[in-house]
Amino acid sequence: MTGWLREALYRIDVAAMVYFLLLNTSYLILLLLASIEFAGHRRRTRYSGGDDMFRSPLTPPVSVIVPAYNEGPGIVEAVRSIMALHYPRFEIVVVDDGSTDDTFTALAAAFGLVETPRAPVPGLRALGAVRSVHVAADEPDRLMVVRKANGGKADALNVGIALASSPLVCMVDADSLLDPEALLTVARPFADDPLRVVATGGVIRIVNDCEVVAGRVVGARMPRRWLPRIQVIEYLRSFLLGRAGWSRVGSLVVISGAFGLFRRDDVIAAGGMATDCIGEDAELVVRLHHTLRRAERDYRVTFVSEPVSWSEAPNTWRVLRKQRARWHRGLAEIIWRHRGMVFNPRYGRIGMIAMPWYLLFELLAPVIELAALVLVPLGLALSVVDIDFAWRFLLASYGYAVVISLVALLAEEIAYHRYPRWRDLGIGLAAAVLENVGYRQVLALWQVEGLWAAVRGRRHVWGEMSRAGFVTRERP
Amino acid sequence: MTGDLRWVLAGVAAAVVGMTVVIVLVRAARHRRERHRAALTAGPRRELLAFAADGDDPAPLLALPAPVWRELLPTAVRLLGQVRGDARAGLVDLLLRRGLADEALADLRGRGAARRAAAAQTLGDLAVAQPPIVAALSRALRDPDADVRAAAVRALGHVGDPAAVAPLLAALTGRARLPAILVADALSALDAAAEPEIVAAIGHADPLVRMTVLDALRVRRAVTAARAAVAVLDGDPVPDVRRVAATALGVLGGRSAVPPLVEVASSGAAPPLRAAAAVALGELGARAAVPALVRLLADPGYEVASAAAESLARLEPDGVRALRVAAGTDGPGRAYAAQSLALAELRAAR
Repeated sequence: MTGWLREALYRIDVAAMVYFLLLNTSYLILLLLASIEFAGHRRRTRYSGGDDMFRSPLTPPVSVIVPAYNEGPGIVEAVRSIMALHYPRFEIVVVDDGSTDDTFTALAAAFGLVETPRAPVPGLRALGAVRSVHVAADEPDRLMVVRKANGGKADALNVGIALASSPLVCMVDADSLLDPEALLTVARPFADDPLRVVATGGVIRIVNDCEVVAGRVVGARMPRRWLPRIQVIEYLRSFLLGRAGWSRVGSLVVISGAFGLFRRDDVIAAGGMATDCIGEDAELVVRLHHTLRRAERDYRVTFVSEPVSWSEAPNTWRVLRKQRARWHRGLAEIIWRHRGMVFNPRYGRIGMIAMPWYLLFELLAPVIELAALVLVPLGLALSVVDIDFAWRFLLASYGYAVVISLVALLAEEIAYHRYPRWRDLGIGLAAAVLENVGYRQVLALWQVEGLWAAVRGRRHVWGEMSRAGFVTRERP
Repeated sequence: MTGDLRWVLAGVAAAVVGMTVVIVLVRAARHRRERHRAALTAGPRRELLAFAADGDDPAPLLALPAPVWRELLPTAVRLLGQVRGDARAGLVDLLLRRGLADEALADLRGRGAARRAAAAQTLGDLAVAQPPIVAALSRALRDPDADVRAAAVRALGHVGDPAAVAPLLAALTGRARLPAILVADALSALDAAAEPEIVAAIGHADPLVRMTVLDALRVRRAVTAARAAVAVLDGDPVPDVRRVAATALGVLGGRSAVPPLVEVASSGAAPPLRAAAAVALGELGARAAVPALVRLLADPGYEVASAAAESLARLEPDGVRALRVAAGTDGPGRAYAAQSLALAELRAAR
């Protein structure tokens, strides 16, 4: 055993430790920032004038865009639940992206759709040509259904954005359940700061095993299985607190595609949704930052820390694997595409803090975690690393991560207390621990898979492979 | 290094246990507080509801000890938003006699933005047009905290006192720029006596004020502002202000607004302004504008042509007839005519 090899291994182990310390500390800072945001938000909701906004004739109208590909079983319920949103003026644009099931016929039967002629809309470049436009016979100004050739989720959204008639467009997943107040909640920043706000998002929560009545979540419950239970904690930590923290420092770069509200003119000026990128929702926000910073516009992208949408989390490892590999691949592609922003002072905090953070602590985290999981035992085997050091190091790193999740749980308990049962609290506490034992290591493996796919995809089949979104499902 | 780690580990373990205990305690304390409040207010709550519903004797409510009243207050304030007429007047009287307005006025000068925002909101809920309240809320428009300012704007709208016009307009352009929509909402909610002063502000030097005022007057349907709005439409140096004036004229303009709107819609101005003028003609029901709108169907821009078609669809029967002709003839406006005609027929069938 040569000395330099031992020395190198030792240094790598120390570096890994420092990395995890920094990673968890960055999360802790985000959580603390989020807490400030929460404190402010809690008191705002009490004096926010939601009723005034609902009654005001000046509240900006919204077009809700629902891309749908083979959503036959749930699409009618989804549209009904959107129609029941508490908001003064909005239209719904469903874009049927060449479904091969009964998505359209179900809609046509439920809402009495009639085909209407449409003048060509300028600036509409769709991969899948628009075939026909239909409106609800009873409410022609409320519901529009567009049929087009399959072109992927981003393409469907682009068609919807082009046909939308309101200054604000809200992009919604057909399979999420919306909170009745969702639109009012995310539209409030636009009303309060109409000249600067260009995009807002809200909290996405996990719906598995919650009590749902008529398309509404009436009672939040912890899921019955441990896999989604752990994801509840994950969502809480990164989607609720992480994003609230970023929003607090004006550096929010991700708004979930499950529910986001945007200024239509700015989305169109930025080029619409990217049809050749997996995480088109996050990519749009990064691109908005990219173009608006370059144009030196005074703008804001904000996060409203109020639950707006409830999504079904994967119940099985197989589906979770697909999802996480895809997410990570999307992240890699976004950072690659906008690499010019990373460490570029021209893009302010986005370029100097947010993008580097996503690169170092989000994109590379699974790689380093896996490396540490290999190298620490290796160091042990070669007796470079002391066994006492090794287990304490791992325990301390993961222990720190557990503390972070507990801080997230505490914040939820103080600010929202959405899980009223003691049993659910106990499950949450246990899930915060379990997440670090096995779950995150397996996840790291799949994320590296996604990263690898991005690297390979770029070299060989750029453009072809990355047309994802709906493409992960069967194509006609 | 290993020795240091031992301490780190002990710290992490302590943090895990500590956080768990804190979470459990937070929940237990909240439950206790809720139970306490429920027990304390159960009886008085019934009395309050009976008082609001049937105008029962307020004496028992007035006699409630302060701690109980404090717990009951959120219910009382919420109730205020749900009742009308005599019930509301009685409730306001009760709240005033329990010193709510004085308390809110004191809080409005207090520390803590949350407290001041709540105080402003409370004064808005009470909606009592007393000079000290209006003056205090007007001062709160310059509060360092944005939430307090927003709550004060809304409150002034609810109170409705015309004295709020000047401070609202001043706060729109001051250092702490208030959201224009909120100000427009508040201005539109003020009493009728405020209207002349709002109309006069159409001539304000700041374009943002002119736009906000025009929006407010549109919501108020203030026909007295028609002449001033036409002047803005014709000659304002800022295109966006002209656009807002066009939209306002769609609601508050009379027959005299039609020629200037036709002129702007047919001019070489920016498409958003021309489209807004075309839409306004439809809103006004200006049948005299049908020939001009038909010409606009052939406009090369989508915005103007589709706006003209939508306006024609609203102008029964001449406009719809013109659409039917245009939809049946080969021409540049055919697609727009067909689109709006189809929608118009569906709307008519409802």
